[in-house]
Amino acid sequence: MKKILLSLAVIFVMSSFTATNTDAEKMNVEIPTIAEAGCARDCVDYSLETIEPMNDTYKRRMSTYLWIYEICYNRNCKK
Amino acid sequence: MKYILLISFYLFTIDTNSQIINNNGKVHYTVTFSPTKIKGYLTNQRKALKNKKTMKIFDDGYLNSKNVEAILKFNKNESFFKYKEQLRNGSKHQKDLLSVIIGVEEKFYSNLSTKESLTLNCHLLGECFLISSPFNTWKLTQETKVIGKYICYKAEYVNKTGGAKRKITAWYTPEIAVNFGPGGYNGLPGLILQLDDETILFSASQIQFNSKEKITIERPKKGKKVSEIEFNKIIKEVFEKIK
Repeated sequence: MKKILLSLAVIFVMSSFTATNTDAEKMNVEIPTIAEAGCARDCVDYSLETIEPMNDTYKRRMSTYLWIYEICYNRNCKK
Repeated sequence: MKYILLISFYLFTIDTNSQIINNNGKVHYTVTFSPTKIKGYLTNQRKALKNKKTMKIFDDGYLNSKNVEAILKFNKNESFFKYKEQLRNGSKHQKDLLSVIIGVEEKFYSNLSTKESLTLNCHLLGECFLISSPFNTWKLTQETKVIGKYICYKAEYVNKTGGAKRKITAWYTPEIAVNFGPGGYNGLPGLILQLDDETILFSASQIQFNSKEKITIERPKKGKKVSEIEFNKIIKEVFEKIK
């Protein structure tokens, strides 16, 4: 389980460093209440809340969670 | 527009020498969101999104995702299904929501002799998993419709695993005696030409039989072996940890 969580963290960080010119940036997305500190954590909460109404499998919810997290992180947390 | 394109895909280009001699072939599928999913998004999920910016992201995701192409290769006993990954706006990094939800990196292998149905998933949890699933238990019906030049029969089953109850509807044609289909769905007495799992719609667009090209299907070997139930349990636990 630790390996999985660590891998997820690596995916988050790698994707945030490599992603450029995302749709979120194009749309100038403003995710509310993103604090400077704990920005990534806020994106986690935002992403979890966003996929909550999604009625689909765990696998698809996880995929969508990672997708919306990446958008949030790139827009709000990437320096 | 998307549905007009889909209908046009039904005008198959078919190898007219379609006697299945070697049971070798390829089927191309076009993958879109299911009309059921779009309706569900617009009537329920969208209303639960709390701000307009988030709505724009998901509106774009559900309504403007590009179709995904996929290919099923098969021989007498085995099949291999994979998606063709499409990049959005030339970006190497941001995928359409459709590609995200279908898990465009996944690969599916089926073997009729050994009753194996395997999914190779290397993208979701940071390591490769080889997920085994039971063959689908279909309820066959006498309802028919014509797809391309084929009379297709409707088959259904309800999948209750994976955290969501879903009705899977397949249209297969006994005229093509191939027991495979898209996305790891198989076990029907004919090739599946259309399948709707209430989120994703697979529609056959091209069928090739007995291609001169030798079709070699290799069983995936890498990946941690887990059952579908175990894999779903791992994802559920990851969600709990994240929270």
